[in-house]
Amino acid sequence: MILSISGCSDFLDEKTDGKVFDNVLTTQNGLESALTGAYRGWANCWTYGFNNGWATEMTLGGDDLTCPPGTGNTQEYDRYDVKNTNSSSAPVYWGCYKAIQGANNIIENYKNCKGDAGTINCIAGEAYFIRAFSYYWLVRCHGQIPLILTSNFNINDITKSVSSVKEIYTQIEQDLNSAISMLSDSRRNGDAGRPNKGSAMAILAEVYLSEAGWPLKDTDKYTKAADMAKQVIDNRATYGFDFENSYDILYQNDETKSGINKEDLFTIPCNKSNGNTINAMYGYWAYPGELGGWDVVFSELTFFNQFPEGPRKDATFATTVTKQNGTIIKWQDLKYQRPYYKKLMKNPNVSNYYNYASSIPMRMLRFSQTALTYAEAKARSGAPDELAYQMLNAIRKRAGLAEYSNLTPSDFADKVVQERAWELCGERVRWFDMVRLEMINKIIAEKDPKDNQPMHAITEKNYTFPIPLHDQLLNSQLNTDK
Amino acid sequence: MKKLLSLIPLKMKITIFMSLCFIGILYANNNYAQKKSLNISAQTLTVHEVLNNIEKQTGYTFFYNTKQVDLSRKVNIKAANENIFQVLKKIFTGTNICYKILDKSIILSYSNKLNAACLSQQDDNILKGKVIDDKGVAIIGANVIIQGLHSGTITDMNGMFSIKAKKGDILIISSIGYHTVKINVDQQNSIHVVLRESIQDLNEVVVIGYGTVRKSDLTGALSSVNDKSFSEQNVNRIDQVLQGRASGVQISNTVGAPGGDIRIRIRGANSVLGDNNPLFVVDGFVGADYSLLNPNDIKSIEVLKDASSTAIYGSRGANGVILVTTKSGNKDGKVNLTYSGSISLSSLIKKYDMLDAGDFATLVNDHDDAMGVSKHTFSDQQIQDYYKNGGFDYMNAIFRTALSTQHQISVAGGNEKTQFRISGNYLLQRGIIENSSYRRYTVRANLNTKINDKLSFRFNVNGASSEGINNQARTGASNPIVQAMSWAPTTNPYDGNGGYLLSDPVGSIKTNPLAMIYDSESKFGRTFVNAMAGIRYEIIPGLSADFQTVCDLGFFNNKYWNGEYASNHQPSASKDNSQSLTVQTTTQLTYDKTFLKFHHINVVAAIETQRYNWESLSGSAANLKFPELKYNNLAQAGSTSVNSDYSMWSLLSFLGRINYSLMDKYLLSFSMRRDGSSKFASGNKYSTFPAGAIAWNAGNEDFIKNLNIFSKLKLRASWGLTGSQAISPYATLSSYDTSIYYAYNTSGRTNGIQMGNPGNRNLKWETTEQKDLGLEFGFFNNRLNVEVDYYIKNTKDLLLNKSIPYFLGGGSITANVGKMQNKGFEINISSDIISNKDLNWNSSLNFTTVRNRVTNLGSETEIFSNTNISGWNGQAEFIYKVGQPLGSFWGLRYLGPWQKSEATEAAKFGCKPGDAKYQDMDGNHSIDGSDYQIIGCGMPKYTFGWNNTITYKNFTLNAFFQGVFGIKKLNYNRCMNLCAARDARAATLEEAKSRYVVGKNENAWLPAWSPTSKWEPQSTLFMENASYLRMKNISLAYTFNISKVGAFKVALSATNLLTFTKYKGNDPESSNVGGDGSDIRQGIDYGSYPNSKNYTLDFNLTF
Repeated sequence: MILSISGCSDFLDEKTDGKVFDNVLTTQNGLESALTGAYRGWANCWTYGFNNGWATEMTLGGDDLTCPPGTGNTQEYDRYDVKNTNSSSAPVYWGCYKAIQGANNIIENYKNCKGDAGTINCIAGEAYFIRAFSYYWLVRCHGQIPLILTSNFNINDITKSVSSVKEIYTQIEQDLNSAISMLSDSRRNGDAGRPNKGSAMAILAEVYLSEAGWPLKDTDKYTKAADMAKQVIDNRATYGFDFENSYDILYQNDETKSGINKEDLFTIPCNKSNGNTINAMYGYWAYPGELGGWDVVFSELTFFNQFPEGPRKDATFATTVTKQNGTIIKWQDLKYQRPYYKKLMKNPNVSNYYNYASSIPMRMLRFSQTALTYAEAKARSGAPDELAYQMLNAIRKRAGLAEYSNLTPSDFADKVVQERAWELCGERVRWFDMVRLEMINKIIAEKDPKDNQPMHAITEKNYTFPIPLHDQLLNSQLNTDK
Repeated sequence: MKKLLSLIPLKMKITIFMSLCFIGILYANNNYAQKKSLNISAQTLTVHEVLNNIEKQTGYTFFYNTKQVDLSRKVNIKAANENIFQVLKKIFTGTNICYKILDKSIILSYSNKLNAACLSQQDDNILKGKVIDDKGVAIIGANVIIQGLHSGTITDMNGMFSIKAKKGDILIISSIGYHTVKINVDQQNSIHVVLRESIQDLNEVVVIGYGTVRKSDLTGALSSVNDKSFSEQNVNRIDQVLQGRASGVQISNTVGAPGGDIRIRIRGANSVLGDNNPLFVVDGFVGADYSLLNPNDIKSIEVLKDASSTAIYGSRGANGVILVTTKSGNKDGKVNLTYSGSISLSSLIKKYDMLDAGDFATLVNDHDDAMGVSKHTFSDQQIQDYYKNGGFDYMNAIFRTALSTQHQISVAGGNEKTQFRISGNYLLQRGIIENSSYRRYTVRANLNTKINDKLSFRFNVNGASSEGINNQARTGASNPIVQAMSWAPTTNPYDGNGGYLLSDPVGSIKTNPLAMIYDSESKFGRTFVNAMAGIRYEIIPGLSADFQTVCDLGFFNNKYWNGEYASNHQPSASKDNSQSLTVQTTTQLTYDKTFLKFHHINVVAAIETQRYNWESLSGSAANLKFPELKYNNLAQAGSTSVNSDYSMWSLLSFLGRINYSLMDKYLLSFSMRRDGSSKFASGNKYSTFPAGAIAWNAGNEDFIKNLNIFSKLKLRASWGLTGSQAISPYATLSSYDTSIYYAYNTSGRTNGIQMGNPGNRNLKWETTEQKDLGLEFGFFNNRLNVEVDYYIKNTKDLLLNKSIPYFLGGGSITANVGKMQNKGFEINISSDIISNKDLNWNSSLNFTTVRNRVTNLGSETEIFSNTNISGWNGQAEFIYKVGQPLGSFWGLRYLGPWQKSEATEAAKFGCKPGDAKYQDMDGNHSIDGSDYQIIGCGMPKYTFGWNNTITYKNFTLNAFFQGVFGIKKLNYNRCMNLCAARDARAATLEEAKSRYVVGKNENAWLPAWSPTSKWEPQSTLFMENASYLRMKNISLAYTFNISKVGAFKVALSATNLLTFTKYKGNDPESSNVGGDGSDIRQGIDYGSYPNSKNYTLDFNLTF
């Protein structure tokens, strides 16, 4: 008692043993930990990020994907009527910004960090990459958004206004250029989940391609896109990328293996082994109910019917599925009578096929996409060169299709866009192509009447999604609907 | 002179002893015998007849030995408005019968002397005297005995006595309700004795913070519950004692599981963010854990409600304070052994009406049709088979009738100097959901001793250990009830190989409910050792110093396990061990003195310190190699992780109080506490909490007395400030979340850090100002008591977790924003409706209203909760808005299905007739976030309690009703199992048949199944009135008095036997969100563990 009174000045001190504060960022270990925390924004299962069906649901507007009728939030994308209350866009939006917050923290602190300069530089490069990739997803989905470049919390920032799409893209370019200059040629520590210099360049090529289309329509960027993609293609050996010869390898989805192949430029890896990192939903949201799946997404009928036959089609779609009791069901006999995406399901020959969790990575960018980006950008910025044909035809050949030659630039570009649809279907590419090239209305005119139909006439307003209500309620400036 | 009592047979002595025991408890009124007038018309009667007549008229019982009292003797008697003594005198004058009054009994005994002499004998060595009270009124029936001898007498109707005594003898004069007086016999042969009313007996003494006070001297609002009021009910936790028995206290069994969470609120909720649980103080230990207290150890509970009572607890008093005093031993030199045991059967109160398998399959096909899915899920043949053979009854599979037992033993003894009491309690409660239970052991030893006249010492130790199995509030999809409702009755849950089916092909997309129950485990272990030692020294008469220290050691041992099936073949387990240590010291000076007869002053000053340390170590493992080892061998796993943590807080307090009363009429109280807390940054650490109260005992004024209406009339008013430690430690600091993992490849994972919620250095106490006006009435000699209070509580610097936009990282920041108000009435009426020899009916009723509203939110007009319980559409479910109560639901207003006549309008929304129609607030023909509005409130407006105890001879009947009114609930269970979408893909409720069906059922309230319709969970479509009135307890007890052994009581009781409610769920009382301190998330039913209906058989033995 007496002791406590005499020592009362320290009796009320708060002892923070066990807590971690900002000062750890001056150490290399601290910076490394913060980087892991930044990546975590992309993969926090059940809370936010990409390792769930959410991001794929957001691209249901593409003609490659559809969902069962009457499925509340999900069908809003398929019917071009996305509300601010939609529950699928919020977790992806949040996850991207959580990653941005972590990246900002590193970018602000790495210069004062003591340790191996090379490693610290590379950590910063990864942070720039994280920030750029996150903004790239956000700007394509939501258009004008707040541009946050600091991690220091300021209560006044709650009412921050949005930046223009142009400003966002400028920042993305700048960050990717930083990443390119700071990242090394190979993935750090050989980790499948990290980008290397080539990954950053390939993303930058995609960014340029997007800028050239709707809404900025900065067509000069086609040249830049082609140049950047060409650098990746030319130096693919340096960065460790290349085409795989067979689709079986591409969509093997064998979680007992490393999960990535030469073609994966950038993935968000998953590991189901611990409760905290069960970050794979690769199976169940794309599985039919007959297998215990959740029937979230499957193929549109027209898209499937028009998809050219061959090994690629066989590798892409599950036209028959095997139930746990061994019964084989053809897609026509499934409840929803649609083919499901085999490339989004697990390998049936590996154990735990009937399990919602898996360790299969979320593929964010593949070499074949960069190859087609080059081909399209080259055609749209002049005319396709030999490399452009080479890239397109390599993919067609692998798919068992005839090679193209002597097409007009615009015809060539259209063929590339179609090839992208088939090659990258279900991989969250088609919807953004349809938006950037403003071909939604034309394409959905061919929708099978049995598939979900648009709720109303589609306008530019439907090309992006409202900022989630959570943020609109806190910052009325984000409600662009009013 | 022959000893008086030896004439009475032993059996009667026991009865007398028993009645003596009760005297202290039952109200005693010595003047009654004198005042109660008798009328007997002139006639000749036998003595027996006259005594019966008196018994009937007065409620007194006569005890006598028939060998001594001639009952058949005829007497001529007439009495007109005469008191008992006058009548008895008429009967027994000239006989050898003496009489003596013991409370409501009159003992007739044989004396050697004739009755005339017995009452007014005049021997040389006889000391005569008169006993009166301080008002000069004679005290009848006072005991006059000579110390050391067992001889004695009682005073007569005039307060007179005479006793054989010699010089040097010490006379002990005592009477119930008065202070005992000792007198040295000197030369005198006549004495005059004034007995002062004993406040402990006549005027109930109640415990207040850091002291006690006569109830009549109370200036604040306080509800007092003593062990008598719940002795007839089988209780195993303190909340069951308080529920409905104390006005102003709202208690909900939010988790009906054994040992499950409860919500206790005193005068509503003050804090949005913080803990709204009242502060528990057990024998002076501030912040005790009530759940580990054995209710049989409780002597009294005082609920401090207004600020003048609670401000003495300063920064922790804002939610009200519940003071618990535990029982101590006996002073009478006797040792008692008490055993009680009970056995209970519990079952579900109400089941949902579920579809049978055939109807279910039919409806699934109907849903396919409605959605345009051409391929039916079930073939006609299958449906016929289901109608014929039925399906699987999931409700029957998860619910059970559960058996619970309790044993309790206590030994109490002691003498004037030293008292002890030791008790042990064992409780095993099984829950009505299979494989859920709660087990508790408690041991308590209380010891008090007087070292000398000035110095006394006390030592209490309480050890308790409990373990709950699967008894937590499980939310939503991870709740077995939710899954049992959602799994299709057409799906067999067993896989045929001794395991459980992993997924339901038709209904729920989530885990098999049977796997959740049998292949999954959550165990919550709590072990507490609480030791308290105190020493008290009387420095000078009236001034005493007291030092008390309490050490509270807690061990928490939580274990979780998910087996092969519950985890979908990824068995995992974890174990968290943590320990807490709280050390409290209280150094107190008390001065209590009466000056110049009229001025009574009581001053308290104290310094208190409290320090809390907590540390934890936890480990978890995934992909267990041997799942059957559960959490007991975590290393045998695919991956493991460990974590440890530490936290602390400390509190330093200075407090003081002055209570002053003038002539027992004018009462004044002032108190002040200054608290310093480690949780705040320097500059904001200290805060002061003053309070004051005045009261007027108008009933003691002559002009009120002369009205002859009130036996008590008191007016009181109080004001004060209290605080709330609503923030957790470290809230002023921005620290990182450290349990962050990322997988850089498919095999490993890496630990990292993420920015946590930003700290706010400017945080300060949340302060509640409370004003209270109270009126107390007593009528008919206090047989009817009415207490009315009106209060206003204004909370300022309201701590809120303000949501941070996702674009700044999400989460929230704690800030002092805004103000909130609670106001309401409390009425407490208690009455001895019937009170006579054989039949007593005591009834008490309380009614409480609380009106809560947010009055200010700083610069903002509305703030949204950061929660989404359903996990379906990610919207905030609650809103805080100026002018609206806490717990306001945020959602859409459902207007019924679109009607045929509205087809054109419906089309603008993309809807067709039958689809759900919601109010379009902004008229944009789109139902989105802008159409969300306040649709109800999940906080009760009124609570009600009515307790009745009726005793007839040896029978005791207790009936206790409790009710909650003006409360809404969002029933997600119904939404989930009607909408045939989301996590449960098919409807399982019978109610689904009443939905809108085009061309068949177009007068429905429920919308149709349609691809263009949305069944919004967060809408008035699933909002229900959750008011209820419940017969909480009914019990019948019978007491046997067994000669030479003791008493044996047996009781049969039923709890929750009857519930009157419109609510459609299992139980209106339980809530999805448990008893966590915060009130922002109540009123949602998504798999709550329902309360049960219990039948209990109780045995109680006293030796």
